[in-house]
Amino acid sequence: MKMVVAALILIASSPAMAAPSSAGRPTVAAAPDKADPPFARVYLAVRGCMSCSHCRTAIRQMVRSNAGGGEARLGEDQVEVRYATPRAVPLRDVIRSLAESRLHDLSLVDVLFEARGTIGLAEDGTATFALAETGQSFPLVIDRAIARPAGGMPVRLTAVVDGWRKKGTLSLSAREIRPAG
Amino acid sequence: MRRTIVGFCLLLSLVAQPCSAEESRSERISFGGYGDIHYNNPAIGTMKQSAVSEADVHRLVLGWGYEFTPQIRIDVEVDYEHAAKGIELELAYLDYDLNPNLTFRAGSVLMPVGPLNEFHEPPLYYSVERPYVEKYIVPTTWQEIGMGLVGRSKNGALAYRGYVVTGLDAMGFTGLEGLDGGISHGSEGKAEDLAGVARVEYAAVSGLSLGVSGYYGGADQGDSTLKKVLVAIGSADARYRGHGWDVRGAAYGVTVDGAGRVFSATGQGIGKTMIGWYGEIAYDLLGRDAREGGSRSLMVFGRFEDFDTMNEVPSGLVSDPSAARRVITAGLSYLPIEKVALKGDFEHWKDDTDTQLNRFNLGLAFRF
Repeated sequence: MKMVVAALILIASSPAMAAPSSAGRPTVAAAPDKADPPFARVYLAVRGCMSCSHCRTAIRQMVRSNAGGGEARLGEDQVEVRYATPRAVPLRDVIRSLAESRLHDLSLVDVLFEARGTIGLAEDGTATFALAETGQSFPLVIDRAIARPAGGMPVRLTAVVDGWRKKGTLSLSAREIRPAG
Repeated sequence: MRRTIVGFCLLLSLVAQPCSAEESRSERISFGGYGDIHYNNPAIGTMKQSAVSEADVHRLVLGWGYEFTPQIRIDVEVDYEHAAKGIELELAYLDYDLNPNLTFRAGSVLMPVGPLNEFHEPPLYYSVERPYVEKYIVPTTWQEIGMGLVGRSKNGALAYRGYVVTGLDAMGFTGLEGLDGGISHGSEGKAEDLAGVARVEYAAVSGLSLGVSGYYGGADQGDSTLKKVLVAIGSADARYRGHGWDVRGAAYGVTVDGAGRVFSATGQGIGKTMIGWYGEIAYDLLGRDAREGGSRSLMVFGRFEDFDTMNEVPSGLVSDPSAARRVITAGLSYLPIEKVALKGDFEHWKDDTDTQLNRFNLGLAFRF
């Protein structure tokens, strides 16, 4: 499981994906991106048939029809759903499209979410991630190893999505927080 | 000198530019493939127990996809059969998403007939050889040039495909191999006759899927000696997978209207109707369930097939009893990961002449 998350973070941070460049240990990175990443991305790590074009078409259709306007791009063992401009991300629907898919040879392994927004810190220590310009927010868990940004500061968050396996409330576990311009 | 410098700069810019373009291109290209290597004792295609054994790199299929835009893509697969002795274009089609649930498809397409013709990657079935019903009744792998729609309901439970394609060529039909010789494989195929083909799949509950397919079209391809030949195919299939079990079955019926004229034109007695069905039950001895995070499978399976490519023949002809065949296959398939399978099985054949054959097979299968 940890390897899948690490792989997803590597994918999210690869230059080809035009995303933050550091991976591995959670950090607050400072280097600005050369290319503007999209507003938000959902990475779905899957296991099963991704090699044949029929399955790829089926996966693309299932994800896109639940993605609320997001574009789906298929890689090897992962699906990236990309939102170019600010809009609410139907994260639960996107996840459900593959987690509860009835394709025989496909299962969802892990989910990574990356988006631009702000982090709200409550007095009791809980945190919330609010997507920029959408009013949409998610509970956020920030490990002590990650420096907390000032409340309300624009950031780009990369987080593992929890809670979807038990069909409960979705929450985010921060893996990387970067200042966003 | 100045020209040289300008030329050098131009060259540098040409060299430098593809780097950024290359990154973008690499995101748009997908590459995949599959293959299988077989040992058959005795060789495939014989009912003689004394026939020699055979080892064969049966298939190596390499495929590419390119995404022009997120909505427009092309997929191509090339099949190098029998250690590249025969090369065949497996598929080559363009997909154009009309909306998130509906895609227009055009090109050389795999026929959506039965559960296996489109989804035929070797690790997806447990036996070394594909089910024989899928070879003799449906001429898997069957592709034709055409166009149509590929759709799916929003919740993914209902999927459908429907195409208009080039028809079969009845001059290639045979008594024992059925429709197999009538496929064009998209290679300079006759296109005087068209056909319609469609398939609907419904995933009723998790693990259970049901499918029906239909095909109807001309097969005389304008040949005046045949006048009119029409082929109709109907099929139904079901599969349940869960708790380590994998149970599936499929049934087919084929009618060839004009089979008598095919005999008159070719001298080849062919079936007016062909039928075939099979049922298979498999169980994972390692108890893996992909949804529970396992990685290895050891499937033990058994399958019974019953098919007859000359179930009914035109009046004046006598059905060849060797066309009515039954095959029992049992064996093991070990999947260290789900994309690789090591297989071994045993086949028992019997036809209506009472000829019997036992065959032992070993296989290595992969997809990526």
